[in-house]
Amino acid sequence: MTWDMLPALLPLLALFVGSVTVLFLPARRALPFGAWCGLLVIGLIWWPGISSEVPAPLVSSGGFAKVCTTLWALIGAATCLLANRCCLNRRLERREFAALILFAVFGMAILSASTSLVSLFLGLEAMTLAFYVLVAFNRENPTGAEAGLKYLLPGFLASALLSFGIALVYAATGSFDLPEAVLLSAAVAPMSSVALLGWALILSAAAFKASLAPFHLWTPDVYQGAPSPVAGLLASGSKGAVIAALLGSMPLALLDPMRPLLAGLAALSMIIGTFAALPQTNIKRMLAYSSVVHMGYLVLALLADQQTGIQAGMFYVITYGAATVAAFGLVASMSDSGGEPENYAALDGLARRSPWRAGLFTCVLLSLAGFPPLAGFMGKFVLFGAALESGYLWLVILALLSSLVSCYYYLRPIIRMFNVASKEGGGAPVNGGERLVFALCAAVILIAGTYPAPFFRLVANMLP
Amino acid sequence: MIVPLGHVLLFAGLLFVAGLAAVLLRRNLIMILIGVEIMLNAVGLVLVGASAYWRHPSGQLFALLLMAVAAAEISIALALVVYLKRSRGTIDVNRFDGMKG
Repeated sequence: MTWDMLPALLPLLALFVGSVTVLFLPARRALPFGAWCGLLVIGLIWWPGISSEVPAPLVSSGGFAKVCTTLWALIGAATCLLANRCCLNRRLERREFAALILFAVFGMAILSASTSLVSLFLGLEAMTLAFYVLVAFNRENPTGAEAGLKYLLPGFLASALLSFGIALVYAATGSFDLPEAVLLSAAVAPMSSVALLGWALILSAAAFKASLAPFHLWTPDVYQGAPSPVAGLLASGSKGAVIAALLGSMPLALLDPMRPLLAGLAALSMIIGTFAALPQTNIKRMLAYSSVVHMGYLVLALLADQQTGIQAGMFYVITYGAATVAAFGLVASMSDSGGEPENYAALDGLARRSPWRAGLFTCVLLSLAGFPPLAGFMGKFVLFGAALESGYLWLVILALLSSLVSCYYYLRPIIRMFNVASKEGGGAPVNGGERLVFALCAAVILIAGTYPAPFFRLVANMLP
Repeated sequence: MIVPLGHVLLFAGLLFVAGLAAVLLRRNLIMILIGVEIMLNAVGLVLVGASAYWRHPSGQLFALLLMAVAAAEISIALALVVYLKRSRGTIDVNRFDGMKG
């Protein structure tokens, strides 16, 4: 460690220092400070004066890490803005909330930039430890505690599996360095059984975190019990960071025995997630099962050729992230001191009570379903195309079928929103921070769907 | 290295499976957490054994790091245990089934 490495580590340091500093601010400044801190990190990443010639140990500072950290910082800032209403309504501690969100973003940034199994483990743990508290943050709410428990136990199991997998890979290859460990494992023609078991355990831990079936059972309960902004961060940021780590720094698909496992996870997630989402009448649970299906689609990017896989996968993470943050943000923005409107019945006649919210919600759900002029369609188009190129026809057919069926569960809440015969009474007006986040998400959803070239240029920067 | 690496891995594997069985079969939250600790100790054993086999210290360093992370994890978990015991009066995981669907 020398001073030359400081520029490469500056964004991470800013996140860490920010998450400590926010604890000493007045409570009403805490959440805006969190949002500004996210923007400051983005500035530090892209400021041309700060160039990092000397790479830091354990984390990379290449294009991939830069774009990923930018994304997580943006999502973290959006979460801080969206959390304001629910913190005020339910008298939650705003300082601790902002500090934990910044710390979770810090973990995500390390995770997606990791070049070593050690930093992979540390990043995942830093992110998860913050989420254990965030999920159970609302102590008055009994489902919050239950959700905390249901996130804690699978999280513990996943971290034990991950660390055992890392230890086995180290025992088989003698290296914690990720590219080297992958190469050494792939070099021996029938892969040594210890290394194979190690990589399989690491994959299962990642599947827990990205909620791929059959490791998805915690997802709906945790989303339902957690505060909506936290559920949004969990769905877009933490899962995105795990997928990014699998795409960029840990190309498991280079190891031939892992490919059938990945394909099986993708197929199971699409099938189980789709069928479980059909009967749901709770928005957050429906979004949870839909995220299982979307993670199944994203595994297609892991199976594709690495260059196209990174581009298609990260483009999909951007489109899915914008839609998810907006969806959970809308649920949060309609909450009052009594709680969040979770059931479809609460959406009845939203188009009359609050036309802008209904319009955005419709847009978001249609994008998740993959209707043509919106971002979700373009994301699926690119992603399925990449999977077709690498010859996974059966998985693409399965994905197309599941997105066809998914229209049913995405359209059900939309129909309720435009239900004319409904009670009167408008929701609380949208505040400034929420308006900013919604406008940004809507812009991403519309622009990435109609004119995706700037986004493609952005993800093309990420190639090694 | 006097003990062959294979024996270390076998013993650690047995320890890991024992911990996993405790996590999956026990219904008391404290016993589940003890199971997780047993699993993490198995990981430490593999790391130290492999570090001696490859003759460089990074495995031992990771084992130390793992202890710190495990302590952080368990402190959060115990805080949640105290909170659940106070609010619900039980730490039997089967009793936490309020959400369905």
